[in-house]
Amino acid sequence: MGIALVVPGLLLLPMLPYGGVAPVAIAALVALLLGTSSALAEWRAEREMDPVWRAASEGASAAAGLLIVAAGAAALPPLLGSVGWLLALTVWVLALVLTRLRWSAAVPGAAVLVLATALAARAVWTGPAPTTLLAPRWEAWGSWLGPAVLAGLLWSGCGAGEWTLGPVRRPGETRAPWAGVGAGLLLSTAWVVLVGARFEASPALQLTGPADGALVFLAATAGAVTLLARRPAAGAERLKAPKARAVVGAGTTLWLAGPAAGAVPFGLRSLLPVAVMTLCLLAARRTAGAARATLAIAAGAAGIAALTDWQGLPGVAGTAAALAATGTVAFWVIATRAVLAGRTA
Amino acid sequence: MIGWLWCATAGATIALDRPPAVGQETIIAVEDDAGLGRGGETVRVVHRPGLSGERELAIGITDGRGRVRWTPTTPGIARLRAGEEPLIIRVDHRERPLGIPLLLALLAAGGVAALTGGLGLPRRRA
Repeated sequence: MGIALVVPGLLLLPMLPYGGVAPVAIAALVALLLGTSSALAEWRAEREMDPVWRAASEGASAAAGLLIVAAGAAALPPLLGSVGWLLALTVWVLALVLTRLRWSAAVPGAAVLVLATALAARAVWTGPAPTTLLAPRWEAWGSWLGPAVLAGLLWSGCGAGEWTLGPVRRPGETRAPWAGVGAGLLLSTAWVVLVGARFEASPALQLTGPADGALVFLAATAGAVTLLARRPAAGAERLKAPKARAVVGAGTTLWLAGPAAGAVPFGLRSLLPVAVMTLCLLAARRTAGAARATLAIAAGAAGIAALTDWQGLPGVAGTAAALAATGTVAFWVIATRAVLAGRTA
Repeated sequence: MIGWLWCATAGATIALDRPPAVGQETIIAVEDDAGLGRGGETVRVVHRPGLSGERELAIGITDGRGRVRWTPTTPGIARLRAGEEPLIIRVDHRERPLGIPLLLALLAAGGVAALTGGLGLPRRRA
């Protein structure tokens, strides 16, 4: 559920000027009609028996989850300046503390939902109706369809390791992915109302404000708690301790907020859908019948998201170098684990 | 000469006789620093400024008293421009819009339903 809370700020809010509330509506449809069923199929799929494929798919799931949460925390410095850098690191420290306190793990998730809902309700109550920014622009679908489809899949936890690396599977359970969809949809709706009301009321037509910093911080903390609480990917047993994963998360956040900041849009909107598509196809290998068909359709949807929103390779040398370095390290880590798993099998 | 032009442009103010609303005629007045109407000024409106679907329309040219009549056709935030002087305005809807609030309410209700349904864990055992 934590990853679902990071997705709105990363994928849906930037689409507001292009599509209004339309991307949120399409993300909700994708999540309700396809995301939950494919997440359940992924959840119920047998565990990968081939050690090489298992290390590769679990490594890719962990990398996708880390990219989403670290990119979410990396949004704090541009929003809040030097305080944002401190808060981006605090995300991981706070998540580490909350992970150890069993009943506190849900606190940031609940807090971001309550805060966003309260702020949106106050904005609507005291200001003009947010109709200009939120007016749906269906005809401009080419600008926002990719992020909307991807958000719908990620809300349910499909492809980001929510149902392969954690939480613990409960036999017969069918409702858990709905919680992620509900949390993501509720947060997205409240947040777009807040931004729409701010745009409508401010003479300078502002899209961002200090409240966004608080929401990003809480959402990123909820996502970080999710990452630290689940089991490590196959072959990454050295990262079993949450402290070790918090260090990796903080390092990735600093990398994405600093040298690799320009590569984040490409990573989120071009590489991430490709990763989700691949993970859905890998999960489909382990299923049969309707579950396999559902996962294949989800993979197709992620592929469409990647195609319609292809960002193109960065033209700036520094950004291209940062992207190449990130991709090389991720590939090297995952491939090394897969090869080692194959040798030890 | 250049300095005088810049002062005149920077000192212009745009005023409306009433809050603009769709279908209702509004008089736009363009005045200089001394409060005198500036005739011959082209007044333009940009609907949805800075957003997808931004649309710029010419309203007209001010008369000798610095005024031009305008009947808005598109609701929402817009930017009026006379020369280089901008003014952000909000064009009210003729009727209260229902589509967007209804869509938002549906999305919020869907979110609450999915969240409460999904959080019904653990399932009761018989």
